Amino acid sequence: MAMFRLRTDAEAWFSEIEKTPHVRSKFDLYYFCLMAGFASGRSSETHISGAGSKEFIDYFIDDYKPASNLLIGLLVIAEMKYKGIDVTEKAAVRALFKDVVDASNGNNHLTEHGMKRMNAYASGGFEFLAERRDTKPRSAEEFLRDYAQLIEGAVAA
Amino acid sequence: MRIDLAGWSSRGLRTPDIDINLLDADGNPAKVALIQMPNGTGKTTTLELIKATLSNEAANWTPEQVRRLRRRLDTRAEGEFIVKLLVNGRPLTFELTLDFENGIARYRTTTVGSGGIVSGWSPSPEVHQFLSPEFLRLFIFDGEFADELFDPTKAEADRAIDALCQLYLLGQVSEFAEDEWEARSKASGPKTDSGLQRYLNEQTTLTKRRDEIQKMEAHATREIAIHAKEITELETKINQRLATMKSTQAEHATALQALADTERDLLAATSAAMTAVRMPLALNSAFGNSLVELKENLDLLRLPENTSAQFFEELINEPECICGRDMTEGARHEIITRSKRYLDADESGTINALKSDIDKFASSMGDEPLDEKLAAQLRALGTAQRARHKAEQLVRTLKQKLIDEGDEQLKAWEASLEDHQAKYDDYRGVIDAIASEGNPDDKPIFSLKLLERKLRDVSAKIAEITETVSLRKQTDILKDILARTATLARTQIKDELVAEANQRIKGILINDPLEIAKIDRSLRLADQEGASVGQTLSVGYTFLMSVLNRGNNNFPLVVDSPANPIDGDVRENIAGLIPTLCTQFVGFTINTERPGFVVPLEKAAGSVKFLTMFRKTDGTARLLPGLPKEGVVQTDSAVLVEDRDYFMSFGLKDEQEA
Repeated sequence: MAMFRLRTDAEAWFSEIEKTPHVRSKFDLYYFCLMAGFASGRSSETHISGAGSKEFIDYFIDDYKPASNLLIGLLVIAEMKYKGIDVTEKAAVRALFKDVVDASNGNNHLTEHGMKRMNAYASGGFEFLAERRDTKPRSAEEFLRDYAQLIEGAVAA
Repeated sequence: MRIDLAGWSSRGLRTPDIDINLLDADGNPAKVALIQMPNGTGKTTTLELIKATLSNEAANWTPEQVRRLRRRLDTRAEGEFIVKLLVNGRPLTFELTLDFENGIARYRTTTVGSGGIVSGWSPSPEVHQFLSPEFLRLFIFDGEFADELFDPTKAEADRAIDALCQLYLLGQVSEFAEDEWEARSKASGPKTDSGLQRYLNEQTTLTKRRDEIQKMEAHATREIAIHAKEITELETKINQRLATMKSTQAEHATALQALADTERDLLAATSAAMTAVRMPLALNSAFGNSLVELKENLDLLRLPENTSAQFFEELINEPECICGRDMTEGARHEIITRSKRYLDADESGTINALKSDIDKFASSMGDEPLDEKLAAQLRALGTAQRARHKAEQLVRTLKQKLIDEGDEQLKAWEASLEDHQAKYDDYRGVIDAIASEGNPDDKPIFSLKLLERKLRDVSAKIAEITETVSLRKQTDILKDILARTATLARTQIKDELVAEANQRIKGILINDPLEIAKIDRSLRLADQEGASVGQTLSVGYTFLMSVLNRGNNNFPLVVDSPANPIDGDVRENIAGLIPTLCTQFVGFTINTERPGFVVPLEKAAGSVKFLTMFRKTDGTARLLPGLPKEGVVQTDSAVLVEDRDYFMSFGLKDEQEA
């Protein structure tokens, strides 16, 4: 079964804030990267298999359960942009949903391909964050404020 | 394995149309069969066709070679030659069809009991090896091959020994071992000692690095404990100093309280902001807007449809389509194909859940939008950060005030605290790096987990290669043993064969004895370079029959003019020997070979199948009235007589006329 994967270099990059009480799991780090990927439209499949990344979980943890469908929706939106699908193209939109959504997969409702693309956006998002910051995050409070600005900048670009 | 020649038949070829049956009355192959064919009846062509049919060599014939076998003035488009074998008593038949118009040869193979009729030349693997043109020469024997047995530039004698004494099996075992090694080592990368050494070196380097890192971790842990203790003690001393000195006493308590308060506020603000960030819509309004837009477009597109893929799956089981037309196989196929484009019920459910979540978000937009709420929380976070910074600054200022007043002790403690804190941070960094997952490309590696992972991988590789390298060595040893076994066996067999053959030659060539000195690729005669045609043939027979007699495989010996170049006494001696040395003998003779050969052969064999065949021509028409009453088969082109007396009396004059 496909699992969420976090790049090992991303984990090292976040090592200072991973130990703080605010960051409760690896999913938080994955989410930081994923949203940066969605905001910047960057996806990278280079590190989503093999030793460059590690599987860590196959379901949306409680903190993210309320947002799980919205994250799938954002994945569909990102993929529509990536593939150049117009929102009026019914057959293409339907096919895209079939491509990424697997309702029978109760853990995350994603197909193998859907999970691969989700991990690709998280990977691309990490590259975006690492490029925009000179240093790795030292504290959660400092990173959160900077992160919100980086996301805003990516969306506006 | 025993292979017998059960017979052959010919249609539409240069050889007469005839069926030759070499089985006796009870269905077993006759021990000895002699087929008397006057010159011009097609002995050489028949032997050529037997070899071609058994060996698949006609598949490579040119159109000219194919058409060369067409009978003159015959209008049939195809000719056919069928050879019937018995392999361990079970029939195996090869049919060779020559298409004269297109100039091509086709084969069919019939194996009773396993596979039936198949197109092409297709013997079972165990028979396949004995039907190569080279091997067939050993038992479809002619004078030319006898000459080659003596030719030192060729290795026909060695090949015959290898083939008939099954020394080739040792080579096959060797090839099997090599193939197995190739198959097993294919996926294992390096297969040599040097490849293994490379991984062993890597293992040594990684083990050394792991030991270093473990020592480093132990050292850093000790140092962290030392510096943490020093830091705590120094902070206590500094705080006590600030609390007891008159100039800072009053402000110090306030400053410490402010620091505690701001740290608590910062913790709360960070927690609140982090909780808010976990909702993607709070991060930026653009996310929410795009999701709302997606929902609206899905509504416009009517996705998911009311009709799901399941509807179509049920529809195909109905006798009629919903449009009223019959549900044909074509319609059913098309509906199944197209239904795959529709969302199934579960997929539709997920999309509906997404739309519902977006609606939930949109309806909550009336309150404070999530992104604005997060923005406020981040502003509060900034305020808390600044407040803490200010509180820290105040504590620092108080320290500096005492230092400025000349408190050297505090200055020294501060310097020491800074030093310990820096060292603590450094060692903490080392411990963090050691505890991290690490990146595969890290150089040098600090992550203990990564080192352990790499060590596991390289150890597994070493185990794999070690097994491969060890298997290579074992394969080489096995191949060496097999090669030496073949050499030793060949040498011993040759010595024994020379002795056996010389013993027999002494009994055959009574008047003109010669001796085989040794077998070195070819037969080498003692004290003489060459031999007469008769001697060559006699020694060749004796050698081949001796080899045939030794092996575990039995083959028919088919010989063209077995006695022709051999004089009387020798004929008699060879004839007496033939039945004892091979399981089936088939000789193509002319009547001049009968004297001195047939009777001793019959005497030694017990019974002989006597066949006489001649073409039907104007010249042989006078022979027809004299045919025996029984045992005669006539076709348009030939007469075949199975009769001992007729065979014995088929005269020289008749043959010349035929």
